[in-house]
Amino acid sequence: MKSASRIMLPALATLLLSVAFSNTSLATRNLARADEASRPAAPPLPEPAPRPPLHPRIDALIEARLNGVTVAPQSDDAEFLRRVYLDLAGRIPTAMEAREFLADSTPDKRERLVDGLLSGPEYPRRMRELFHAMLLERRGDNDEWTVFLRNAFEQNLPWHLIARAILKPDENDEQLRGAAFFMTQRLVSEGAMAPVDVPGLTRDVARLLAGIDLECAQCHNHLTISHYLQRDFQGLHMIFENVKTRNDLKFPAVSEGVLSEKKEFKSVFEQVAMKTGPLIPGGEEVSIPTFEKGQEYLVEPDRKARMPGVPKFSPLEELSERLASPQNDLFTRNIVNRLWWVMMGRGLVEPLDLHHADNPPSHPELLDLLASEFAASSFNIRWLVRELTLSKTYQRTTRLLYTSAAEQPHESYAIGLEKRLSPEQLFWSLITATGDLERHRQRLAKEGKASLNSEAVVEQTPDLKSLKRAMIDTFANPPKEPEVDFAPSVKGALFLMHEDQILRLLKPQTGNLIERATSQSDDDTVRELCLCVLTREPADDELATLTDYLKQNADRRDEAIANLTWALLTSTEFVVNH
Amino acid sequence: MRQSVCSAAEHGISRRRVLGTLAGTGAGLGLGALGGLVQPAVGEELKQKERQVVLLWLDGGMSQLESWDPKPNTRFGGPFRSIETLIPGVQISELMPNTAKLMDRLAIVRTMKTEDPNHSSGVPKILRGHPKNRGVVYPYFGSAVAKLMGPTSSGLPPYLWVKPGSGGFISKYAGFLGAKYGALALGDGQPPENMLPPETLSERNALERRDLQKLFNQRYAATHRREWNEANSYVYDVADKLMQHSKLFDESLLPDRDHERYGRHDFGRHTLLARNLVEAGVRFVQVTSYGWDSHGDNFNAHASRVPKVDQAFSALVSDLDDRGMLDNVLVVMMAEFGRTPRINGSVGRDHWPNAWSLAMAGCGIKAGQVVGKTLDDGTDVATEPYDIGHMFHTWYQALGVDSQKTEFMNGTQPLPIAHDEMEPVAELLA
Amino acid sequence: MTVATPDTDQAAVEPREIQKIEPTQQVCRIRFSPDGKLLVGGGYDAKIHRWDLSGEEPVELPTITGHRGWVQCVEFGPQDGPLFSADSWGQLAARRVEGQGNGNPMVELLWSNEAAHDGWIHDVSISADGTRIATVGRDRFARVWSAGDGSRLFELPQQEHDLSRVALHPDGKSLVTGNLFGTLRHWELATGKLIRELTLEKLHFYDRIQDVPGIFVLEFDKSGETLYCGGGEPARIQNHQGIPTLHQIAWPSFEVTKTQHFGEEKDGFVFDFARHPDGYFLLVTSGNPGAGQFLLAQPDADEAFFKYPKLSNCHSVSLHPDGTKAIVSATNRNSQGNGAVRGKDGGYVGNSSPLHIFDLAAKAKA
Repeated sequence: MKSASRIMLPALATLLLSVAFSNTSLATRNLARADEASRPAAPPLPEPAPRPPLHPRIDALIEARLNGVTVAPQSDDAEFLRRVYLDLAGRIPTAMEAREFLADSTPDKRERLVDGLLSGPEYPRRMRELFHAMLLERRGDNDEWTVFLRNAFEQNLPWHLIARAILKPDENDEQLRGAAFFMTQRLVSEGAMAPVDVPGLTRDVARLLAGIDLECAQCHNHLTISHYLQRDFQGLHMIFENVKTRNDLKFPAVSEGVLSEKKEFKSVFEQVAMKTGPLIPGGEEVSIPTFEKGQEYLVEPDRKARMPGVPKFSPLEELSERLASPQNDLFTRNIVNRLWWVMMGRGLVEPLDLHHADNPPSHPELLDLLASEFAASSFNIRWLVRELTLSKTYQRTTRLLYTSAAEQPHESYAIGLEKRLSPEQLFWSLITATGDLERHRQRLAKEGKASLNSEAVVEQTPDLKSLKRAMIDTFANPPKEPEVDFAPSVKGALFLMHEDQILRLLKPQTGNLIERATSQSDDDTVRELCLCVLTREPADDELATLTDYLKQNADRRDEAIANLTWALLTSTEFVVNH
Repeated sequence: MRQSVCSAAEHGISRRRVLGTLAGTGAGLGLGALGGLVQPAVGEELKQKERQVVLLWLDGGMSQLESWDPKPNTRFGGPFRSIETLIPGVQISELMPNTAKLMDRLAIVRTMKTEDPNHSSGVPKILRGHPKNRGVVYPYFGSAVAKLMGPTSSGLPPYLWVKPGSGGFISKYAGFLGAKYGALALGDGQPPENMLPPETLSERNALERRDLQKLFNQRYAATHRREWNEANSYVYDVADKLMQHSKLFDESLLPDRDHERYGRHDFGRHTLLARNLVEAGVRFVQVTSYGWDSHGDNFNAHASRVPKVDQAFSALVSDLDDRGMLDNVLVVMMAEFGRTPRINGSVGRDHWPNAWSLAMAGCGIKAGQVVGKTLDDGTDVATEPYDIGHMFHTWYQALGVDSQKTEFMNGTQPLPIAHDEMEPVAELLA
Repeated sequence: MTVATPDTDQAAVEPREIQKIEPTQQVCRIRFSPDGKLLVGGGYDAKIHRWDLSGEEPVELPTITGHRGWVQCVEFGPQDGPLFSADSWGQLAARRVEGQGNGNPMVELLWSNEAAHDGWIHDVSISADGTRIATVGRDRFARVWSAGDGSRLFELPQQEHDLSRVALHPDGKSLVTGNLFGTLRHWELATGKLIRELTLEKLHFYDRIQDVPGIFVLEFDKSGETLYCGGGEPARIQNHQGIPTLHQIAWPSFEVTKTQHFGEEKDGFVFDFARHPDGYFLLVTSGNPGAGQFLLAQPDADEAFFKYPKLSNCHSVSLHPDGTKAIVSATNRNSQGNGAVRGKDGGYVGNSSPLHIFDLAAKAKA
């Protein structure tokens, strides 16, 4: 939701001035870099030195703006457990994991759980799914892109290096070259009547990596945001106008042409011609080096091999170095705001892609702190996620127990905020709850495929693989629509009500939830279902009502249990991260 | 879908209370109620609330010269003749003979003058009523009406969109109102996927599931912000409603005569479905016909297309009239613009926002008249031009929504529902 | 499909554009008078435009009025027969017209029928002996008229679809109609019986409630042995794309014996067609924004041997009776454009049909 009502501050220009600028000669720098490009990829970076804890400072800054309002209490163990599993492992906990945690009485159990999840195998998958949806916005998928994201999050690659891999893809780096898919998938033609949407790529780079939406600035200075200038758009756009998808390689890759002149553009309002060179969001204009005719290339194009050539001057290189830089405030603020939104349910700046002076953050000091600390941590995503998770702000309950906290506006963070489950979170949670993930893991183990990770289990189980695809199709937003708001759909409801792939999960099968439930007493059945699906014990009156339901339908117990399970799996409590 | 689609849920209107013991828990087993969206209403308020809209959208732009504003025997007039209508002195294209006989129930505006000659930006501008730029994404007409008026007492989803091709829920049409007010698109008039329960799911089990689900949801909603549960429950309620009305989607149940009158082509079938949907109580139905962008072969294109539209449009208006519904149903037929007077080398006409026409009927619109006049050769308006904003004001007024006083709330930001420098066209309101 | 053999004659003709007439209006169809001294064009403005070609430079003569809709068809009878014209409001008329002569161009209305059809007359065909005229129209009727007094001689029962084109067989006994759906029907005039039917499915296209006709040309050769049916295979509505196509149909078998495609989807449709006494075809095409060609092709070839792509949206071609010249009606450049295009004087700008005159002289021998 974009709102013009929160428009109030000074300019992008102040940001522009604060950015450091390298004086090194462009030509020589690029020559040196091209040599490096042929070398094999560098080994993964060591974890940066530990930083002092950030979470107490986060809480202090949040509380400083509460003006004495009593905040909501911390979540209870069950609520916390479910939330932290969803956020860090991308699924709800199993009954066994829940029992173990709830029974643990040591005081540091939450911190230990967080550390366990962050170093576990599911955290990189969860981050990959999250960043895939955020960066590609459901435009499609690609194996090389998956490899890139997997490597990035398994190695906890610093964010600026992830961004640089996207902005200046290196076809020689097998681990990260798939990052080019970010660009190539946006440079696909959608038919004769729809030319390749290069402006869309420009806009997405600015939105997703710098937090600014330059859409309206394509043709004129933004009408209501005085700091989004047409020059900002055109200067960035000329970099991508110079980019082509390579068709001589079997994996996603891009090439650049020779860029030797500034770009001329006109406002549709004033029709006065202006010029700009490549312009980095949050940075300055890049000067264009001149080369003698015939001297523009490091590697000459080879038409026969369809090899496009490597120009000495690479605007993408300039962009990747100067945008994905600790000195670039837009870059740093964008990512910490997005990670904050992921964990807390609301960005410090909202909408996420409208950072500008007239749309200030709800907690400016906090955004500054997160940005500077994140940069100082060498853009360590896992570290920042850990700090956010350990904060009291993150761990507050979403229950409306105290009216004073509940009446505070969302941006106060006086109370926990609910979050939308991604289609992937919904899928993993569903098959965790119904026991199908575990059931198939054990089946495969019996077939000699021991200790498979969850993804491999799904990959090797046709039913689950097809269910995953169907659920992403059903619950994802249409392509190009960011998955930000909770948007349940009739399509989704009908899918859960009637789709055979869902209804099948409600039949007793060796090792699944329904089978387990049918063999227990009514009381235990209800407890088991509640724990497996909602990660909590039933309340007393709930227990009474539900056991009564089972009792009355004792002659059709399997059906009653299936009905109960369906209702739990489709309940708001299940489909929301609270 | 050609088979009969009678479903279990149709019989669900007389729901039994399946969870006897729940009686005392306060878990009212909703009889298909729609959360807080439907208020019982009486008298005038009810009448106003039951006002409905059918929007026939001719995507790409129908030529005003081959329809509402013919200029026969002039340089740019094209090959077709004009014909007399029921209203003396009012002539329309010979391609619309049936509509000509209904002119006493229609109003034509011939001086639409809008801004945008491009489809990609023009379509949303017209469908949003082109309000002033306030840095927010305004809802489409259907979403706006869904928000302002809610579902009718039928409880059916307020904004249905019958279109060729695929269906789905189009949340982006809702703009800042939020996904919930988007359009439920029925691709080729077909019901949404998975609408019919599989045979393996008995009616009893289906009802029990929904009742148990409500039980859990009410418990959750009691201690959490209401919006989340409202949104999640709403889509199930809509699904229920659609299932109850699943016969609407079975074309084989309709008399042959209806098919003949509306036409067996897509636009006829979809307009016939629209009639049934408003009759069933859908607040706003949009029917889209694509492919009107006749840059080439404009005249054969209109010779083929306009009579089909004439057929379906006239059948709709006369059916609504015969059923006594025209007093409460607003019918609008328009596109994002008209087509250029000048005829290009491909014997086509290009995009023309400068002086185009649209037509409307019902819901208190003053019928039997033409508003505005274009120059003799059709190359500009000759009388006061109207923007789409004027039309939105007029239509809201006809629907009983005071367009100059009512505001949307976008968070804490109040926003006018129609362009705040424009007003309703008095001539159009009876 | 036969493979084109290199033909020495084929390259022997090399048309040169020698003159251009710039009318201010758009025309549907142009035709030379039988003596070649006069050119007429049926206009979008309900007028018949005339140019005297007897001198060095074409001289525009006063237009002939009397029609109301588009003058879709202008055809001269054989020898020094009259000019027949038909419009989109259903009017069919016969006039005797002559050129400048002694400086006083003559026009004499012989007869006129304002209600020959209800609405758009799509095509007329004149019998080889010049005594009868066949017409078809949007009203789905085919009719035959006396050339002498305009009386109706024959009418087919109303058809189920629009009739696009009509051709009278040179033997005077048969009539062929072509409809919106690409169906050709052979009717016996004496009895009104349907004799044979042939559907060229590709000469029709349906997309999003729009039927697109593909038959633009229907003509017999002089002998009556071959029927030419052309136009295009429509591929896209909106920009009206199609593949320009000409079928040759053997009259005895009523089967297609040769199909020629003159380009790709963007090239559009064969709008008009003429046969040179030397055997080759003259064709004009109009396609997707601005595309249009003047083509010469041998009947047995798969490719045109002469392509003139410099024109824009060509709609009609007429061959001078002596075979030395052809004239092509095209469209001014940049005829397309959204919104209001204003001229220098601020007025609204329309389009026109420039007429390009080609010399069909043989190529100079190397």
